[in-house]
Amino acid sequence: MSKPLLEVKNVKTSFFSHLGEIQAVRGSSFMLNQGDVLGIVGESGSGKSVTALSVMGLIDEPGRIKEGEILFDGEDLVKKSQSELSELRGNEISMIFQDPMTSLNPVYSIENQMVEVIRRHNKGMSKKLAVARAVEMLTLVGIPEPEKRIKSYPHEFSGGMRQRVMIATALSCGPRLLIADEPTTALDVTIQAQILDLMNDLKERVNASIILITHDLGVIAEICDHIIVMYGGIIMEKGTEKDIFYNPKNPYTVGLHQSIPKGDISGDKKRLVPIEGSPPDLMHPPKGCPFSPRCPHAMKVCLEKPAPMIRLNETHTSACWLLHEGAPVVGQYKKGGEILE
Amino acid sequence: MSNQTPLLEVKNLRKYFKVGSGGILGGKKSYLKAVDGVSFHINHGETLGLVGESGCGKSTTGRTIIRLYDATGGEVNFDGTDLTQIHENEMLPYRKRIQMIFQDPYASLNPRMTVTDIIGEGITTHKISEGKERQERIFDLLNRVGLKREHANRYPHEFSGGQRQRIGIARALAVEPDLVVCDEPISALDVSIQAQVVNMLEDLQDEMGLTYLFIAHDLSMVKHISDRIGVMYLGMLAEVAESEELYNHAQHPYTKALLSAIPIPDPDLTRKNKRIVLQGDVPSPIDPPEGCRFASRCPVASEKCRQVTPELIDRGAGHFVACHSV
Repeated sequence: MSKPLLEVKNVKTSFFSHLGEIQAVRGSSFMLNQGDVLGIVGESGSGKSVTALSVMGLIDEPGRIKEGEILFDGEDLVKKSQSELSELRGNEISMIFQDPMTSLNPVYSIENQMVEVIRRHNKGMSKKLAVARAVEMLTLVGIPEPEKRIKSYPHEFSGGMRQRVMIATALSCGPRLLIADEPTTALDVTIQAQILDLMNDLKERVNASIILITHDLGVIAEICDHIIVMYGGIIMEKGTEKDIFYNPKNPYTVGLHQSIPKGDISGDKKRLVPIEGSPPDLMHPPKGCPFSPRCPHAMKVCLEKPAPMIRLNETHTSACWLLHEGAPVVGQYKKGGEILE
Repeated sequence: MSNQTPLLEVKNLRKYFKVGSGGILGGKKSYLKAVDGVSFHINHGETLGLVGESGCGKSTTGRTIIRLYDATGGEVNFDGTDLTQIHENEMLPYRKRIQMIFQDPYASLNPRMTVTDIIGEGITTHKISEGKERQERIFDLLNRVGLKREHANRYPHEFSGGQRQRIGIARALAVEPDLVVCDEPISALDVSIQAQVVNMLEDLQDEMGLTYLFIAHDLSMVKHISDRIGVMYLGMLAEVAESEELYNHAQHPYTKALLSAIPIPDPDLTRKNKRIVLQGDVPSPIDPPEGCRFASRCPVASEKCRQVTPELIDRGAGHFVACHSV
């Protein structure tokens, strides 16, 4: 295998508020190869967005990356200065956000904003060339009559169209990594379908790796090849879409699957199986596994010590004590596998 | 479970909001037609789901039914009384019988009131009980929605989103309503919490014989909870049918597109699924054009669709569709 494009090693990011330290990400490790589409799924407060912002170098005061390395193309981003990072952002890594209305500046035209981005990253490019490039990008994301529409202001676009503009801008400098943080959450289902189709299409046509962050397993199922499940600031399970959807080996992942109605199953109304309790307080995270207070199979050790990350096969890892040699046999959680940490 | 007599019958309900004043400059008066001729019924003990995208008028329909807005036209027959015709003073007994649960559990609870005050307000207003009896009733309600006695004297900010939604539900149930309008009650909650609240709503329905109007945009959840579903588009109902029927034999082109747009949490299935992707966006509800509202995005629209508004017609077994091409 070639060298990974992105390697995140044991990253810990905290926010220091006047009430105390909020441990948003507590030791996150994963890697991404060129061309991969990685989905990070989790509920609010699971640390999925903070993981992405850490990669982008966008953690602001009072937050800080406390520990760990983020290797992009072999270089550690954590050690880079802000000015070095801003060279990378846009050029090499770019990001699209949930709310396309607040991410665009309402007082500048789309042309203005796109040309600014393109010329900022292509020193010496003429304005005319930059406009041509912007129009080309708008065509790519399916904006009709791009030459005309580029003169418009954000309020003249609908939510779905604005998100297309954001994607066009993010891709305009040919980044190698695109991070999309809940790109379709603010959109209606039929518009979400348009954007997901667009992203699926771009996945083939643009040679960028994508990290897609969402709370919606349906969206993940749609386009991701690799999936990370986060909860309480840590990675609970990692695997391919087959591993996570058809062979989950972590009680939290299983709980997530059971608590959503499966649209395809017709006939009898199956009762949902909710996960009882509520997510952990990240100011005082549980000593052991963050899911242990809500886990139906929690053992004494789960409450005491964080679960080890156990490798089940080449692609699939899960942080759960049930998979440990010493654990009793429970349901689908077959023991065994190499202990990683 | 549900018997076949309608508790609520909505006929040709309309709610227009005035936009643009007309004013001294003689500008044109325009109306935003949020709800434009909606008819449906809900039987005793039944759950009717109302789905549609933002701006389709589903929430306005709910709010007009409980008279948070005054209807522009049409009837809202609740247990034989047209609520749009009676005087505001006569509404009180009906406000007890129809309650609402709101979307945002943060904005819908007064931050200065304790849980006891929030839940007890309706009990006092409707003179249901007082003193010790009232307090017992509040404890009982807390218990029913999965909260504890000791929560009674706390303030909303001390609770999580899911717990707040439980408080909102206890408040609605405190006055023993017949009909509960649930306006996106789970949209603001995390996935693992949504199932808790949905299960609770189902249990409470069985225990207390409630009738629900369940408004939401999450179609898979709506299918799960509803007996029948109405699909709205731009202020009108496109299709109404029993849940299974609607999901398996949708007839309206909009319903078909909407259903195919739901991302299914199953990679093999969803990647095989041939999706109907609608072009364009929902048009503006301000002075909408004549004809079928969906015509501008419909893959099978004909000339007739752009001129004549299709009526919602029963196509057999209570499956109503408003479309010329069906």
